[in-house]
Amino acid sequence: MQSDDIAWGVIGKGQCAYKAPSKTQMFCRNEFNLTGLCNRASCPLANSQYATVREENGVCYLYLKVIERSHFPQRLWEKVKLPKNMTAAVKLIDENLLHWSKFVRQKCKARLIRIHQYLIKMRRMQLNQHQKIIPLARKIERRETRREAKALIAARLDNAIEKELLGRLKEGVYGDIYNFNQKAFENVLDQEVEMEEEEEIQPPQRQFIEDFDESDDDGDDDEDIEDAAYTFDADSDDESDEDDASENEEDEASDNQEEGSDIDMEDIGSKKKVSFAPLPKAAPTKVSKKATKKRRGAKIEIEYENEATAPRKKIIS
Amino acid sequence: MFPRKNIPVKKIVKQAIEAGYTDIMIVHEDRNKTKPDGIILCHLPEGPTAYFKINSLKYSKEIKGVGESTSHYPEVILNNFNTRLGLLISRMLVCLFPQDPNFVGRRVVTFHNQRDYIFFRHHRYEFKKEGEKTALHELGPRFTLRLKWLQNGTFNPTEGEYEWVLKRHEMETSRRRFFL
Repeated sequence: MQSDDIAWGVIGKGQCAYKAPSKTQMFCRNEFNLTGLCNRASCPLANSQYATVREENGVCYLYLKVIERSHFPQRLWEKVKLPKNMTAAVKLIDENLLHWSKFVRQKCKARLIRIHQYLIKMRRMQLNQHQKIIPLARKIERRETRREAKALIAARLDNAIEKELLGRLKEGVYGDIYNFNQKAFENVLDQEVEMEEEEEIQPPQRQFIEDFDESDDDGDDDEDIEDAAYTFDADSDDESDEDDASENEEDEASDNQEEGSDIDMEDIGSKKKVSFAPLPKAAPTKVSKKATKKRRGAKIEIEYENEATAPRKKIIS
Repeated sequence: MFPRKNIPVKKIVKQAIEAGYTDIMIVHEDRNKTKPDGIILCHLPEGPTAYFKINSLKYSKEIKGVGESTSHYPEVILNNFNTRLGLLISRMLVCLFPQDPNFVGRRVVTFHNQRDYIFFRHHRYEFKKEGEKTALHELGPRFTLRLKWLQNGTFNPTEGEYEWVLKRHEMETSRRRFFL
């Protein structure tokens, strides 16, 4: 004989497998429980006449339990499919639970409403395309990072890139952008310098040119060495510039030449008066030899006539 | 470059095709929004779609001795893409850069494939010793990519036709067998 009170006395106060206690409340884990709480009115085991609403795959069902079927556990619960329309479903619930307790009726309807609400939310969420979270397996991640490190070492990226770039250069992909033939480069530079020389030689060519004997030229070389001891700054600069055939210093040389030549043009007489024995006769002729000497090997030499040099030798000795 | 604002990818793809773009690149950040961890590269119209996973990203600031990049068109180097799949991917990557045979500015972008990992580097180069040595100065970020899947059409992960999918269990049978 079924007695709900005795059942509740045993289950509710004592041991029940479906009890799930929390800090504030006692829950019931029985799947047919209407509210989910462990109460006298909510316990499906302690109520012979009971009903629930449950949802399976989006379809709601009304489950009914009556005392007449309490001896047939297999057929205990009657399953009624509820229509998808909520008002129709509520009506159906009212029909089936016509004379049942108010509590059960109320809670069934409330539960139905709640179920419908969360179904709507689920459908809406599916439309929004939320991100799918895929778990990363740690072991596999570790393996992949290790393999990547090994691949990086095997790749030797810098070498590969350099090789590729050099290959492209050799194939001529870049055309003439990069000039690498050093000789050609230097040739171009030489040409430029020669252009400069020719331009700067022009001012000195203003000097007057006279004929002279070749023997004088030879002798003058020796005299130049002796002259070096006595020469002023302008002269010595000229000589030193003559010796240096380098491109870089040619600018200086040409400048000095200009200065020297200009000075000589103007102050020939005065210079010689200071450094050597007075040589008024030598003044006009000395200038002439500069231009000719330059033409030979881009050198400048200041030459003096034999007459002038003779007294100098005496001074040296 | 636009923020995505949760617009579904298919819509983005449609709009881009109408606007006349050639490629779409969607960068995916991890959940905490700290670092990008995936790239969806979609070649338009009707081109293949590839999804890469980004490992080991290093920004320019983190690289020591980094240089500033300029706005010249870079040259592209694609190394070691040997298989058919690799060639497909390499062509997709090249499409992102303007193809201009007049090289201005010595800027190089390198995609190097080694054992199914694609290494990306960005350098400025100089030829030294009359074309026998190159000096590389690293600009810009460096990262590695790993191809996760490749689809034949535009982005359609649920219904589209996949040309290649990385299925770890089936495919990593041998240590010496690589796909890219």
